[in-house]
Formats: sequence, structure tokens, C-alpha cells
Amino acid sequence: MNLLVTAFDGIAFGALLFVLAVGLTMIFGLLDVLNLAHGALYMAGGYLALLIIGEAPVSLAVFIGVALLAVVAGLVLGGGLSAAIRPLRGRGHLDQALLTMGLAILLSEFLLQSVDRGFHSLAAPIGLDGSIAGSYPAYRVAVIVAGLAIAGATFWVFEKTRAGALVRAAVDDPEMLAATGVNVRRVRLGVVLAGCALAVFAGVLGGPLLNLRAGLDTEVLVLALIVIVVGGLASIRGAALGALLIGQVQTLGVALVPELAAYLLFAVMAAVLLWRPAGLFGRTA
Amino acid sequence: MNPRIKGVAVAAVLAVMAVMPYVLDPYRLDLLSGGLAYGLMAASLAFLVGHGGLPSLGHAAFLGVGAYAAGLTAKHLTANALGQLLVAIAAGVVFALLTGWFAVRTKGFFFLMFTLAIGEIAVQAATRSTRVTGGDNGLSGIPKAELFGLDAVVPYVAAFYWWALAVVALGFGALVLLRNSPLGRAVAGARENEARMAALGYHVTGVRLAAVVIAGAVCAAGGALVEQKDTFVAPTHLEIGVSVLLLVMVLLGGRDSLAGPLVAGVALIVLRAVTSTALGDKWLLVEGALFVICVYLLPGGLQGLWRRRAQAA
Amino acid sequence: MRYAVLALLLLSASACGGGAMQGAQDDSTVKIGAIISQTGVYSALGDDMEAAMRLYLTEKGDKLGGKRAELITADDAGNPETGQQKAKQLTLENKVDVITGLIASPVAVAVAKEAAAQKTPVVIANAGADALGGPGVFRVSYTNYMHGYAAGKYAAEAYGKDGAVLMGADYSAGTETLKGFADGFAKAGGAAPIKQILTPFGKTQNFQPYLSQIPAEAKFLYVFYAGGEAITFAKNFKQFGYDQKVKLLTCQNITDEDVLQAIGADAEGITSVGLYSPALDNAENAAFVSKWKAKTGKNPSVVALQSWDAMQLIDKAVAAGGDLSEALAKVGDITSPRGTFKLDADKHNPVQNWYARTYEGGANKVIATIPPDPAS
Repeated sequence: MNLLVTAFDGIAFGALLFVLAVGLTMIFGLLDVLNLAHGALYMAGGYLALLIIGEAPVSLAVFIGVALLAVVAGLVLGGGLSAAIRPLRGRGHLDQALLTMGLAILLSEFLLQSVDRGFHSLAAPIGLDGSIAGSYPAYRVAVIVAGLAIAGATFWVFEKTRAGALVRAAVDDPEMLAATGVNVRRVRLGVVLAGCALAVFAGVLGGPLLNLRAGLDTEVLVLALIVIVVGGLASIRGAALGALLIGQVQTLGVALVPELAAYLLFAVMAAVLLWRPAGLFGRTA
Repeated sequence: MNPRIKGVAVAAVLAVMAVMPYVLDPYRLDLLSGGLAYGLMAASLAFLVGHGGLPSLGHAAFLGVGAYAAGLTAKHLTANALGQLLVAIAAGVVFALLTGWFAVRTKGFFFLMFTLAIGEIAVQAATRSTRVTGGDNGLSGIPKAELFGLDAVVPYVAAFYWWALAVVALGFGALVLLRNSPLGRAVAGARENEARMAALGYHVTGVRLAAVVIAGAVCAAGGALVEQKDTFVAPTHLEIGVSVLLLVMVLLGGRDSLAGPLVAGVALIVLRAVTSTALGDKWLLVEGALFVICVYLLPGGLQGLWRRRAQAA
Repeated sequence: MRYAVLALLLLSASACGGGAMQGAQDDSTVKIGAIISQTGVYSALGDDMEAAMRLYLTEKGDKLGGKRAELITADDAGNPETGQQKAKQLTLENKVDVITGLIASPVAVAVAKEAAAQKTPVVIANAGADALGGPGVFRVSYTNYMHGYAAGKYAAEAYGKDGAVLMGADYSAGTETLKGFADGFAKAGGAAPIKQILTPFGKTQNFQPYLSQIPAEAKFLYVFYAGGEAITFAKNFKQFGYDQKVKLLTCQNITDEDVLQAIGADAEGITSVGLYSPALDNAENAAFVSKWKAKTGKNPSVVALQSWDAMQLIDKAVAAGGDLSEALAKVGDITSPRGTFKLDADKHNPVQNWYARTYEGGANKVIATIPPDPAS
């Protein structure tokens, strides 16, 4: 019974990881840009919410309002990121890494200087701050619902709409797409904006789960990288299944093999890198 | 650059560096010793990343391996600085072979993530092997390394500085020689065109592994210096932040060069100390801004700047 | 090459700047070097530490022991290598008379080693590593062992002598505290703990998988978590309903000021054993709490209290005159907001009361006092 709760909790954690990682994988897959500022964007979401509503519980409506505000902030930050990266086109991953790392440091330090360096946490909204049957936090169920909704939405957009088709085409064959008269630059910009908005939103969503503190950006970035490596790059399905798997490793895995808990996550990633480098569900190049 | 001018320049730099103990106070001399050690490690990473085309986010693991090996040697085997250094290098080679054998089977972004995993696993191993490594409180009670009697004549900090300078100069020289050797050219070839190298009969994975071993051994030497300077090692020496710092040194120095990262390494260590003292908790902002500015204004790093000026001249 | 020269010029320039400002050794000023985490994972506590030290100095008119006092802070970024470098700088360049601060134990170990080499005394204001202590090292906080030991003694009285389960983070602070608990529990007649659960330090975002390992026969749980992990643990414990399944006794860090707001309502009712509570009833504490509240609007955290006492210790030692190391060893009773305490003669660790506290209605109400074992 306990293990079932643990496994279910793994799904909740996986849901959060998905919302966080899907933007990263799309930006990497489409623009071939390794966005090391992704964790800082997550952190921005959490700290923005903290600035607006503080640590006390608020109503669900207010919480959702804050989350939407975070999405707007994410779009703005995404625009900035896109502009910052544009001069670096064709310069390779390491230069992008250095740039996005510098931007991440600037963003996270700005957040910490604006708020303070103390420990903070968001409270779950009223109505979701209790526990189901006294033993499972209602908020985590909400996270699963949110994650499913976003997964569904991104999947639908990606597979069933013209915008999604444009994105898929831009991944597969940008020259051909440009030849058909589509502004590929705009498609790329759209992906960056969406990816960043999702990251900032994830920061609000995860606020009640992961503490807001110095170093959060690095911790979250590493998790997101592991998810996309394991799941496969440039694939929404990969991000979803990778997130679910990593969620389980961090909950069920740790419960089953507690002595190896500290190594489990990286051992799994290392194993995937050796045996299925394209990721478990990624598109083999 | 004209080889003769280059030789004179190198000699001049070495001469300037050698007289530093007469110019700098003990604290700054100690800081410079540390900077040199990190510069050497950055150069070793440049050999792997730039020359070998293998971007690593786990290079600090070699720092840790070298540092712990030297520290444990100092505690249990010998107080001789050279002995400790050699054990550290040997440990670096072994670690490189064990982990590199797997790592070279991945490429590019995947190599980056694999080395990240190795680094993190190494940190955990260092933290949890409390009986051997002292755990998260670090390895203490390490005696000072004996510097061939030199420390009886001059203050220890000066003797150590010359020891560090010698090790860094020799280590750097080794990297340069290896880079220009047939093996080094094979490493570059494997970076440029794997298929052609294989067609020519080179064992590409083997060549890559050689690059990892060279970089790892030199980095372990740097790690030994770090331990000998502070007589202290902790799992924090292997943290991802250190690996990132080394990679940044390579990028700021110019990944296609060895000298650029060496200089960038020294400069960044010094800069960190200076900005932290001057600005308190704002030093991180300075670093972040520096990275962003350098990406835009110094696309080839320091090396790119030198090259442009040499061409313009 | 130009840039190598630039780096060296930078180095020498800062040398000149420092040198020019140094001047002769000023005997009427006492210089205190505080190594604090201003950035990095422990920076949450660094702000409190610095604020408490500066508050004390302001109260005393920037004088310690009658001499003009200068507080120089340095950032260790949570890293022992950086901490050691700052210790070198403070002793060699700033020529401080004493080093204090020190939040994280690895940093404290590295700094204590360096300070000993530079013959400068160290007053530890937080780090709890058991190994620290000895000539030249003075601690006004606690040792991890005693932190757990006091809780163990209390638990045997309050929770019964069996069915203990221990849980903590797998690093030296966690393991040393849990060991202390087991010893204190045994000393008071308790049985060996039935299980010990260690969680990966700093890498645990969710305690549910570990909480699920608590055996059914467990009567109570003693935990050690600090900082972010304390917040996550407290929330998880309540939200997954474990507060209905097993009694909880915690270390002082879980209901400490620096995490209470983040834990929120889930902190209600948690009993802990710590060396201080803002609700302690003595004159010294009333004054301290009101001053701190006036400055920050919150109750003092234990780090703030310890830092305050660090300055008090230095104040008394400087007033006594003579060699600072010897004077620090000879300071007797210290009237602290935590009550009166002194340092033991051997390792200079505090010999102090511990308090069992329950967090109710926004305050850590003291429900019992655990005196130190009589000197053996």
C-alpha cells in the first residue's frame, strides 16, 4: 500500500518535471540551443509568485491568476533570451552554454537580491492545501492534473494544429520550410517563447513542492537535463515518458533501493547514455 | 607567431613569475599558487574539449581524485611532494581509464551529460566513504608536503609557490608537446573527421581515451597542488560548480588554445577573490556579466583576441 | 601574454591598496574577521549571522572590551576551499585578532586549521561538527553530538524507552546528531533504536519514500534536518498524514525562525529539542528579542542568538586583556539569552541547558529543560 502511494507520488513529481522539461527539449531540439538558463526561469516563476502572494495560502483563483502572470513574465523573458541568442547562431553549444549560464547567474542573483537569500516556500492554494484521506496532499493531485492538461495541450498543438506542423517541419527540414515561404525565424521564436513560458509556469506550479532558495536554479536545471537525456531530445513524448521515469526513480526507486539512493539518478542517466544515447523514446538521428 | 619571439616571450613570462615571491605578500602569493593550479587544470580541460572535441562537465572529478590521492599519500605514505604528485597522477590515469572507457563511447552533448553523471557520482562516493576520505567534513590532519629542503631556506609559501610554478610549467609543457605529437594530431583528427580517421586505420575510441587520460592525468596533478597548498580536501572540490568553473575558464581563454585557458584560469581565480572582497555578495553578478560580455565581445576567448591582434599587426 | 600581465597587475594593485591602508598594527582596535556564507546554499543563515553581530556592536557603541571594534566580513560561498582562502586573507592581510562566524562544518574545519597555522583564535558561531574544538578554538553554538544527546535523554522520559526510529540526512551533521541521540537515549535507559533511515543530503526533494520505511512498531520518530530539507520534511510529514501515525521529536532546526514561515501551518504542534527559544523567560532574552524584533520584525533564529553570544564572548575576553586565546579560555559564565552557559575546559564547547519546545500559535513554547550531565 505504501509503495502504491510512493508510485503515485512519483507520477506527481513526474508531472512537474514534464512541465519543466518539455520547454527545454523543444528549444534544444528545434533551435539546437542548450538553454542553461532554464532552471533560472523556473526559479523566476517561484520568486515572482512569492513577491506577489507571499507564503500564506491564497484562493485558487488568485493562485491561477499568479500562474498566468508568470506565463506572461515567461514570454517576456523568452523574448529576451531569443534576442540574446540570435547573434550566436552557428557558434556551437559551448558558446550558447556560456551565454545562457551567464544569463542564468544574472537572473537568479537578481531574484535573490530582490527578495532575500532566506528559505521560502509557496503555500498550496486554499482548498488544495489539505490531504486526501488524511494521507495524500491534495495539491499534488492538482499537479498531476495540471501536468496532464499541459501534456495534452502540447501534444494536441504539436500533432493536430498547423502551428505544430510548422514546428515539426522546422525541426525536420528548415530549408524546405523556408522555401515554402514560412518565416522559420518566427517559428523558432514561438518555440522559445512557449518553452520559457512553460518553465516559468512550472516554477509557480512547483512552488509548494520545491523550496525557493539559492541554488534552486542549478538543482532544477540538472533534473531537467536528466529528463530530456533519458526521454530523448526534441520529443514531447520523450519529455513526458522521461519525466515519468525520473519521477519514479526519485520516489519508487529510492524507496526500493535506499542504499543506492544517492547514486540512482545519475546511474540511470549514465546507463541510458551508454545504451540508448538518443534517449529511451527519442528519435534516433 | 615567430617561434623565436614565442620562446623569448615564454622565458620572459617564466622569469616574471619566478620573482613573484619577492613582489607579493604571502596571501597574494598563496592565491597566485592556487590560480596557477587551476590554470593548469583549465589547460588540461582545453586539451580535452578544444583539441579533443570532447566537452566535459565532470573534469573536477580528476581534481578530486588527484587531491585525495595526494592527501592520503601525505597522511600514510610519504611527505615528499614529488612522491605525492606522482601518486596523484597515477590515480588520475587509473580513474581516466576506468571512467573514460565508458565515456568515449558517447559524443557531443551526450558526452557532456555522461561526464556530468561521473562527476556527481564521484562527489557522492567521496562524501559517503567517510572512513577513507573523511566524508563531507573533508580529509584533515594532512601534514605539509616536504619541498626538498627548500622550505628550510625560504618561507614555506614561497617554496611552495616555486614548486607549483615548476609543476604547472612542466605540466603545461607536457600538454603542448603531446598536442603537437603524432598522438595529439590523431586526437585532433578524431575530432575533425571520425569516419576518415577510422578509414585510415585509427582506433578512434582508443585515441579519444588517450585524450581523456592525458587530460585527466594533468588535471590530477593540478588537484594534488590544490591539496598540497591547503593541506585539505573535501567533496566540494569535485562539485559540479568546479567543473563548470573549469569549463568557463576554457571558454574564456579560447578553447582552441592551451595558453589562453591557463591565463584565464589564473585571472578568474584572482578576479573571484578580488570581487568577493570588494563587493561582498555581489561578486556573482560580476561573474555572470563577465560571461555574457565575453561571449559577445571575445568570441574566441583570450586566444581569439591575441590571434586577431597578431593578424592585424 | 598581455592578459597574464593584466591579471598580475590586478593582483599587485590590490596588494598595494591593501598595504597602503594597513599601516602599523593598531593596539587600541580589535579586529574581528567573520567568515559568513553570503552566497551559496547557506546564505539564508549568513544574513542573520551578520545582522546579529552588527546589532551587538551597535548596542555596545562599536566597542568590544573597551577597545574600538572593527568587524570585517568575508564570504565563504558555502565552500571550505573559499573559506580557507578568506581565513588566510583575514589573518595575513587584514591581521584580524580573532576569526568568527562559520556556518557550515566543512568550512569550519578548513578555517580552524588555517587559523591555527596563523595562530589566530577562532570563535565558532554555528558549525556543529564533533571533531572541532581544542586549543585556540571556541564554540558558542553546540556540538552535533550534544544536540542529539539532549534530545535522547528527553525522549526516554517523554516518549518511552523503546520504539525509537531515527531519521536524518546522510552527512556528518545528520549522522553525528543521530548518534548523540542514540547515546543519550541509552543513557536514560532507552533501548537501541529499531531503525535508522538516512536520506541523501541535499538531493531529497520528497521524503515520502523514506517515511514509508518507518516500521509499524515505531513509537516515535526523531529527525535531524536543517534548512531546505527541514521545510520539505515538515511539510511532507504533515501532508502525508504521518503525524497521525507516529509521534515526532525533532532537532532544533525544524522549528527555527529561518524556516518557520516557509513551513507555515504544518509546523503547528511540532516538538523539538533545542538550545534556545525566543519564548525563554529571562531578562537577557527579553531584551535581545525586543531588539531583534525592532530590527528585523521577526523572532531571533538560533544562528542569530549564537552570533550574538559569539560577540559577547569576544567582548568579555578582550575586556580581560592579555593574550586573546588565553582570555577566551578563561571567560567563565556567559549570561546569554539562552540562559547562563560556559565553555568546557577541554574542547571549549558549550556546557548548556537544552530545552524541549512545542511550536504552538506562533511561538516555540518551552515545555521542559534538559540540564547538562553533571561533570564527570
